[in-house]
Amino acid sequence: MMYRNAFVFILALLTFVSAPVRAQEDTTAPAVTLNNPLIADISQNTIEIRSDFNGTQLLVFGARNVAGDLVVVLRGQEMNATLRRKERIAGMWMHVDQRKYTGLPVVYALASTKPLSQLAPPKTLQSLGLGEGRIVQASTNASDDVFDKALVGALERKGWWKSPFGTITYFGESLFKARINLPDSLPSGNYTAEVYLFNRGKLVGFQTIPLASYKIGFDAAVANAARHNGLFYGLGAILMALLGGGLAHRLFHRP
Amino acid sequence: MHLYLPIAELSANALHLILLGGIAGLLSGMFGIGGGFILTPMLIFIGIPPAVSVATATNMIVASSFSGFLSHLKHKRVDITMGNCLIAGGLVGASLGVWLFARLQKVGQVDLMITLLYISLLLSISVVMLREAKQILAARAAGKDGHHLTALELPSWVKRLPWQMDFARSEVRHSVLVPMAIGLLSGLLVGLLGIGGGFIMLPMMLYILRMPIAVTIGTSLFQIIFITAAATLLHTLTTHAVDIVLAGLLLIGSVVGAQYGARLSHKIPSYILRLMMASLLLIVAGRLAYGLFITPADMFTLVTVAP
Repeated sequence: MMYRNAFVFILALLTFVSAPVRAQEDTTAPAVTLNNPLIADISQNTIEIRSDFNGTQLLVFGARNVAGDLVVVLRGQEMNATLRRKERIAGMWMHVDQRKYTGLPVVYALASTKPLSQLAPPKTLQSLGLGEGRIVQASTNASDDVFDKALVGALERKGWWKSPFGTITYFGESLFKARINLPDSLPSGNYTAEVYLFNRGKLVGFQTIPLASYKIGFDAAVANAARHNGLFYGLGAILMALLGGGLAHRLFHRP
Repeated sequence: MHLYLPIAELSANALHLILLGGIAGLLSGMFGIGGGFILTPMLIFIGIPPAVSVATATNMIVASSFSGFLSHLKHKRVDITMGNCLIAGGLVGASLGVWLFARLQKVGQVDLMITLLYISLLLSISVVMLREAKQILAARAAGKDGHHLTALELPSWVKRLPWQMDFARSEVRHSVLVPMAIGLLSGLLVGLLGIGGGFIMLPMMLYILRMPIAVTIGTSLFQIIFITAAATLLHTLTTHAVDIVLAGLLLIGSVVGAQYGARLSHKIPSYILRLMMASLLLIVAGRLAYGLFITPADMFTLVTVAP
């Protein structure tokens, strides 16, 4: 994976470095790249989750053509979450209290070249869904500091959320790259990689790149059958049990 | 050898799981029970989510009880008529149990309820076992053979219930409602706890139905096959928590373990078997209770659902 990422990155560098040159040579094609304040891409658009999937690394790279600060976000599809709090009752620990959150991204990894609060006013950040605390608050109608913090903590321990996921490194004035390590518990589904360019509190460039992860192979088939074909899955499980039991009886009770 | 369990959504060592199934099978063969009551807590203990543990153990018990049933059938030690009555009640009980399980899962108290039910069940069975061991020892001291059991005197209204029926193989006469009620109770535990219910069923067959000891185990296994198969199906339709890979691994160990357990049970005196069983149950109950009372590392539990 590392080699592939490195290869893609070098390829990307070559493309960007040579882009203006090629634009001059090819007069029929418009030189779009020069007018766009921000261009970005990712190392892979699909992630296959096999049974030996052990996490992977995603490379977000690109170039900025105007001055400004960058924010890179990987956002998963939406989920609902319930967080329950335990308390000691009659000596036993049991759930006593809960908060519901709707429309949270399954995965949320963010990195920025400056602290978010220095990049844009809170209202802008809120509307763009930037910052763990902001999206948690927006996803519940009963925001509670203790619960909200515990939710972020729980999602970070799962490896699904991470802020910052790492650093954004520059090559010269315009080229940048960021590596995002994805955990082995990565849920399947649709993702977007988002790159924002801020200048003096204003959003001057924005690009979003789709990404999908999906389970593949035997495990995917099993999980899929269990969810969508309960009857056949159940009958199969029973048949397997009967065959196993019968076979053992045969083996141990040979005349 | 690590293997990914697609429903439990975690990797586990395949050999550990086969060994775990083997232990459950060994106990099941030794004591003539399904072995689920020891398997489910062990699965929860190694980190399998409780819902998956319960549903998958149910599926595995189908295998171990079928294997044992075949042996008993060969020796004509199964009362099919009695079994059918137990199954009729058991199916209703299992449906209620799975429904209740899904409800508790929604409310968020399923883990606590399962643990509490387990602790009380394990404690009460170990008390029964210790009492039996004492009785056997007393009988041996008095020069009897140690298979002496005192049946419960049923209240007169039970004897006056409608639909009285002769159960030929067991040589008893009961209203069909009595075995159906017993089936219902054990079926409820099957759906709720992922156990076969044999260890509840056996004493009731002996003390309430007064069946001869020779046919109780075969008949109990006969009904367990149907009840656990039905509960498996209910789980795959409602909780989607049966992990077929996990069940397969446990199954390999358990069917082999059960055969060795059955052989071992002939070599160990019955009061020692009961003492061993009682202490095992006490250890499991103690471990579960300990988990309830120690301060958890995390005060919060997160449940996520894709909409």
